[in-house]
Amino acid sequence: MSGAESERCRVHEHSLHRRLFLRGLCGGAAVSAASFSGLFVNPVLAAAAKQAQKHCILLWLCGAPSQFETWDPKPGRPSGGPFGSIATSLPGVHFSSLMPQCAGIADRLNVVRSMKTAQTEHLQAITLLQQGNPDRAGFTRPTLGSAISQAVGQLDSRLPNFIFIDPVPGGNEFESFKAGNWAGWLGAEHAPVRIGGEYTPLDRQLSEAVPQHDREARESLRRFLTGRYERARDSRIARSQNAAFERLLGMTASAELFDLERLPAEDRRRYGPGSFAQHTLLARSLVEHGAPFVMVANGMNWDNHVFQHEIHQMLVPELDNVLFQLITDLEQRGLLESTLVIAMGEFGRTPWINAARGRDHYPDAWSLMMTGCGLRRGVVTGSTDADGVSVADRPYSEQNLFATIFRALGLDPYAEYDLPGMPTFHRVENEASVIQELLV
Amino acid sequence: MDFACLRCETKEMVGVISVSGWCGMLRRHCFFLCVVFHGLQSVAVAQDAAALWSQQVQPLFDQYCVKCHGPLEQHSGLELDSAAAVLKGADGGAVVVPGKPEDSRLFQYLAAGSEPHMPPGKQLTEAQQKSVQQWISQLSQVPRTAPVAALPARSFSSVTEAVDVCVSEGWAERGVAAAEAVSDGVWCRRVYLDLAGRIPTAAELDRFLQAPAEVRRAELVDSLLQSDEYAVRMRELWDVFLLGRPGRGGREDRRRQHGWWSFLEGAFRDNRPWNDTVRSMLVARGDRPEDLGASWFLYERRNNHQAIAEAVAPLIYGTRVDCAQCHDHPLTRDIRQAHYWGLVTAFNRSKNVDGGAVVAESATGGFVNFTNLKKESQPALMVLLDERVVAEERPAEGEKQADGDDLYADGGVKQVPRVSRRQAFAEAVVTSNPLLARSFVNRMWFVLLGRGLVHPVDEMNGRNPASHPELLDWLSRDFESHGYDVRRLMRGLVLSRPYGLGLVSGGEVPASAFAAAIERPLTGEQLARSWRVVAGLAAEDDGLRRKVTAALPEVLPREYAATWQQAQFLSGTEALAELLRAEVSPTVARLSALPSVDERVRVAFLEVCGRLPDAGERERSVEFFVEYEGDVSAAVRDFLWALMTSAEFLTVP
Repeated sequence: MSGAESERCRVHEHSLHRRLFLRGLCGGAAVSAASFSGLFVNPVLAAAAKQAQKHCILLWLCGAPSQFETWDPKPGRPSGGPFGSIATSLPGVHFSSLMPQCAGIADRLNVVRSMKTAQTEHLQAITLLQQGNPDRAGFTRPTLGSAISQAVGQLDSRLPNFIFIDPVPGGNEFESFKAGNWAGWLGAEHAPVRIGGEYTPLDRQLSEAVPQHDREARESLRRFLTGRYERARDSRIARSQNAAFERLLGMTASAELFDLERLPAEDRRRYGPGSFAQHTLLARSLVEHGAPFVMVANGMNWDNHVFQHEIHQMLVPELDNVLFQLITDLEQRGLLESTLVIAMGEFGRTPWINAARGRDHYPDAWSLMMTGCGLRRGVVTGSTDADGVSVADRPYSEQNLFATIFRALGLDPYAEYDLPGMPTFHRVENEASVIQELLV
Repeated sequence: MDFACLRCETKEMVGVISVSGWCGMLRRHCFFLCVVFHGLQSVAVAQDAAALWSQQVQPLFDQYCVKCHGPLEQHSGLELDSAAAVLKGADGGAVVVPGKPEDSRLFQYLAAGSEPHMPPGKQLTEAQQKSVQQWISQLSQVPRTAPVAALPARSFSSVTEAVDVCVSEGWAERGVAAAEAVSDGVWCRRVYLDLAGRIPTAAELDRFLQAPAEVRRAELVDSLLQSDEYAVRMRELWDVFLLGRPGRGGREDRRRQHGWWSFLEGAFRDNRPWNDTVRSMLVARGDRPEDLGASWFLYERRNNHQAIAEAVAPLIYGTRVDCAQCHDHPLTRDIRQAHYWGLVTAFNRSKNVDGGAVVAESATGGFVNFTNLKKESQPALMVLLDERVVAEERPAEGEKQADGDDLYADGGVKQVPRVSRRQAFAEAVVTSNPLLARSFVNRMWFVLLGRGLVHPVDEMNGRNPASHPELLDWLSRDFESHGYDVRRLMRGLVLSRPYGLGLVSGGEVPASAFAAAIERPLTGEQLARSWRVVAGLAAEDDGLRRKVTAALPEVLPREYAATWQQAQFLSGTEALAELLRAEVSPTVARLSALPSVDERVRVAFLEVCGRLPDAGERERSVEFFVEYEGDVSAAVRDFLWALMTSAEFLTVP
């Protein structure tokens, strides 16, 4: 909106680098140190860069799990529910009895029991916990994945910066959120690549009638013609088109990375049946191949206003196993140091049971788990009162949470976005403090 | 020796806004001087002050300074949002000594470690400080008062003449050479895309080229402007401008069902005066047959009065007012909170009635106050952008007007008040509101030439001067005085010389000079129909159109950015593959039956691109056919695919 006219799109420089990447990576070659050297001449530097890269896996438990049936049990209290608690590998710390495996590795996890946020309805709360700051009218803040995608920039990986695995396209308010603008002011390039359900990639949609070599022949001709047009007219449209097709080629070449069938059968058995478990395994695999941010969701099945105990009795053990497998797998592969794992919903659930034997929404005191990159291990911070009605000690907001996430990933939480013509925005506003006791 | 480097310290191409004739001349002379004196910083005559201000210093100040020194706040009484304001200085005196940056506090305070230091907590880079330094040192070269003498308004005999004269004068002022005009064939393709929403068939192109040269263009334009396809094409554009793409969830069907599309098409088919069409949308009552469907403009927004206000502003004022919700516009003084809330007030008595797209209006209520960031509160009046206020009776403080049947004109239904805010507001903005004409002219210029006379097209405010101010003024007055005649304006623009220029001119020329055509991507609708034409089928196909517009929803985006999902769509969509089957497409059948590869290539290029291939393309294409493993019709299908998804096909020629 200022008077300056910049006629040449700056993305040109980026597109040159992208081409260097993808040229080295097309053709479905196996991941190797050599193929990462598109940008780096020095393979030692390339390896170091790969090691320095951080990842984040967000297990988005949409609908919101009950803290009483997971991380903050209240056995014997009216709010406690029927499941009771079990001791964990952390002295004095108990989890719900529905989580025996996590109890066994509690010393590798961290739990925040004092989350206190302001939104009680799903759409607003999902937005709040995905964006990490309250809304400001007229501006759409980027979600966590998009913010990280932008921070990571043009990456040495053939995978997209922000992958969202979501097999259930619906999900009430979650569906509304999904239809919205994830990347906000950062622009469509930082929107997530969605896979799962009707968003299954990638080259599967290509018509069966067109054999692979014909596809290559015609794509090669298209590229030739568009390249010619680009040079003759200095055409921005042509440049952008060729870049988009190159990106597609790169993604198509990595299509097998999204194929569950290619994962070892033993791993698939360990994680368990069901899309949530299998997609968490897929997330692990994508991170192994360099994906910076993977979000795993599964509709809104945690929102148990009805028959809460019965349904949580099925959901929580599954979550327990999935978390156990994921954390131990990452550890064994030496990836936990560089991968931040977060498991949370958009709020918690009420201490009291409603008439339909369910728990309703409760943002005043709830829990989440996060561990991995940049964090200590075995820290349980914040506490709630005897019935879990309010936070007794160290209330933390979504801003504290996001400040901690960014800091853990080595990013400055208070950095300003470069947004000419717009008000000043930071990754985390109000200089909200980090949860210091979690950070290394 | 790189001129671009010296001008702006970066490799970016910097455009020039021509302030006035003599300024442009000075700039031309400066070009040569700068080349000669490159590297001699003390003789910094590379650019005059006005250009430096608008290209470098103003954007810098907008970002770092204007928040505290601008329309919203004036710390120390200093405003930095315009050159004049800077020169006016602060409470404590001048901050700038023209020609002497070292003696200017504005420049001194930017240095690292200065006391006081500006901006607080941040440090401008060396390059940014140098821009300010250069600008200040240029100030003495410019007389204090802008030399634009008020010339008497010229008259032109037609829209086309006005455009041709003003734009070509602009080329001379800027010292740029215009691109060559496109050939008749290319021009025909362009006009068909713009007025009929698709490329011409081979027969139509032929017919055009056979017509006598002196009349062929005017005849084609007149016949296209009378066609149904024109009405549909204009509806497609304005549907998106007014309501945005419908997205998922059946919204498109509801628009059609409730007569919104027929309303818009009727407005363009019957060439309704634009101000009358806008009145229908704002009043939103189906009083006359031609108004049926108009209420959807308000109805779809589901009583979100702020969203309505934000949508109405670009329509009637040519500028968005979104920034003025919580405070006056931070960058341009002509847009204030009062304007934003004035618009809201005009519509906040309106309420949707379920089942039938009726927007009822209350006769009472809707008196709101608005607060700014300092928590100061004011009552919202219906203030228009030109500061006129649409008068209405207000109840006394604390009192509420009693609602009653007598206040309504519809016998007890209570949907149409005797005194209607919407009505009063609509009358005020569709008559005696020059901005309505101005905004339509700018918008249609943008559609046809790729960039508004004011850019961005929906920011026609104090921040963004027109590239050709006299032209915009004349076209707006002409449009208004000829009864807001849309066809007349479209005809005049399309028959002008700038419209018919080629896509490339010599050297680096700013787009605002309109010395060459500006690249415009096809909309999804244009693409779907053009594919069908290439395939030899009837242009209209609702299923194909829906799929293509879902994948490519953008209409002339500010920044063109093709996504890999769009590439995936173009690569893999069944819809396109289906079109190119030999059993479906007469073109594929015909091409497959041709005896020689050479002939096949030649005809394919003619059918798809409307031209012959050059030597390199011919060679590559022949190679494609020769190496293809598969039968002829498969080869033709894939060959056509490559042509139909190439950037050339996706761009208006």
